[in-house]
Amino acid sequence: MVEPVSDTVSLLSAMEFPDIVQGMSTVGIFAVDRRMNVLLWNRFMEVHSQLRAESVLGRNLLDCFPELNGPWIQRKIKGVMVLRNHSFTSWRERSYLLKFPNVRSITSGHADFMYQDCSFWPLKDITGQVRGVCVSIHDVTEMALTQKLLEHATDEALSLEESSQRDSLTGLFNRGFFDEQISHEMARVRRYEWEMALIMLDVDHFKQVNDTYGHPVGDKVLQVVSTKMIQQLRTSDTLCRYGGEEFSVILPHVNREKALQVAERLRQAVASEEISIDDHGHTFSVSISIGLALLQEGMSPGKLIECADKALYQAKDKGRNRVELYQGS
Amino acid sequence: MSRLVSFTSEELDVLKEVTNIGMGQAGSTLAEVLGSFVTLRVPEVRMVEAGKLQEALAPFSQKYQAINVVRQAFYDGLKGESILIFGGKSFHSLVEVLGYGEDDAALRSRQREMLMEISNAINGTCLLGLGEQLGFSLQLSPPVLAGYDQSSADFYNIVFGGKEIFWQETLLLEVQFHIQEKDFFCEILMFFAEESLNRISEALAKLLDG
Amino acid sequence: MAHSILIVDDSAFSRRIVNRALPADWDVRVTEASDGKMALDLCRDHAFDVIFLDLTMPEIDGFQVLSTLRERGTKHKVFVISADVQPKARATCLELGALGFLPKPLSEKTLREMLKQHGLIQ
Repeated sequence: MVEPVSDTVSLLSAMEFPDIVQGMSTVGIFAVDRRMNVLLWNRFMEVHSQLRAESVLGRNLLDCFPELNGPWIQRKIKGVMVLRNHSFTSWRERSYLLKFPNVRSITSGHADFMYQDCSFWPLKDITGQVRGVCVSIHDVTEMALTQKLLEHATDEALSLEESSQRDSLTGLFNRGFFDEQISHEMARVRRYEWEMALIMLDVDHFKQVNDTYGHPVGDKVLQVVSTKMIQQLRTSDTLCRYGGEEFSVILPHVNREKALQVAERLRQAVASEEISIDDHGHTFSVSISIGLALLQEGMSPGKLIECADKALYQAKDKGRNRVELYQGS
Repeated sequence: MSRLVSFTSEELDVLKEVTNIGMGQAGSTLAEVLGSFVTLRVPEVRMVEAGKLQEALAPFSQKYQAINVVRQAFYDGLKGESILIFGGKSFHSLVEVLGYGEDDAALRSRQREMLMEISNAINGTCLLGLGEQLGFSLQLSPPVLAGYDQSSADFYNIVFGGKEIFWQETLLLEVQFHIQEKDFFCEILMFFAEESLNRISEALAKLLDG
Repeated sequence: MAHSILIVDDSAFSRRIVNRALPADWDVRVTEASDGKMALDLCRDHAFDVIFLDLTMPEIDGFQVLSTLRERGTKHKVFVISADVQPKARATCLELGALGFLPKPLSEKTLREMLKQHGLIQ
């Protein structure tokens, strides 16, 4: 005779749900109070942390996992308690909450930790008061590795295509790419009726740098300058190595004020950077001169470059390490 | 195409007001997180047909230069998806406020995570607040970063690009948060699924009779 | 003697809620305004005893109404009723001369207590 469903339901309720959660080994569940003391620690947590529940319950989580960023996690826990809202972390931004070993060490040995997606939610008592925060940890290593593999393959395919567009020393786009790109960008901004700016810049006294410190240092200067500049730009901006020590930047969808701000940021970033010459702590810094031109109606790419170049020449003339805007802009 | 659900102007007024309440709570959360005064604006409420969606979203492509876009779905009680648009660039001052260190290499990851945290906090508070007024609880899905530091011209593509729209019409609620001193702009577009529209309509009618 | 009341809110539903929340035993004559400009115009011609003011309104918002009324030097008793519950908003309202701040959703009980506190009802 088949047992009525209701009997099974009452049998399971008698077991108590918490026991089931405790015994679960496929998802990590733990809970902490507002002071980060551990309130719950299920089987998954025991197995992967190698810490039994008895040794963790009542202890401070930050003591058990000293590598945790204390301020960050405390703020996150507090946020959940105050907002009474779920919160999350994703492997893409934060590979793991707690560092557990990767279980697939045979087939995926290159990943030495478990990738985790986590959820946080308020833990309430019978009266509805928030006592702490519950956290679930999902092992998403499989998915994360597959994604990364996919992205890596795509990146490789792209980089093959791109290598003909790139300058090998700095990794920036090269002159060939720039010549094509500027026409594309101009067509695009015209279609949307946006403004656009072009920067032509070069490293001041570069010949002297090479003569004084040698070409390897000169190369390093170009690399450092490239890196500092990239950090100041949006993904929609295009930075190219135009020639020896000359660079160009296409800034789509910016107005005059914004373009000047960006140019000044570039100048500042380079000027304030200390470049080391050797292993003995000797450093020096370089500066760049910047010519800026705004796209006007009816301008051709060649004309825009010419205006930016003229402005660059003015910047040199006026003493270098400065930004000049092409007048008539 | 027939209108599945029609909201009367009275019902839309109630809807605007309950959205206002949710928005106010979210604004308060944001104010606390960022330690600044948040300027609120009257919410917008409208029905949008699938065929007119791109047109309805066109203003966003003009509004900002660089944007970040976060998607977050909600379900159970009310169903739909929120799209959050962050314009303006204010991450550098915000990074410290949210307890992140200055580790340069990890900075981009931290910026993205911070975006998602703020999105989760304000979208969650807004939806839960408005849901509460209507008598619904709801669950949030984890937020997803749909676009990071992209041109606003790509907005429609970032969210709907290359995908078929399987619905006929949606209810769209829009709220805005602006912090002048930090050059911080955030707009939340809350799209409600067709299957929730009747429930919303009933809840609004109840509030009107109440 | 009846108190003359002005309720300012761009939402008709919200104005209705305020109306309904007023204590039943309070003798009042109620006028409504659906935006800041209308409110300021009405205030120029009438001396209202009490004003219930929303903050988030199009064009002229509650903050501007408060500061304009203060500039005019009028002696209205203003209570802000708003969903903008951030502490700075509250503080700014009080600085601009509001007597009190009531968060939305409006609680009849809280409204009653506030009116009592300011001697408008028993």
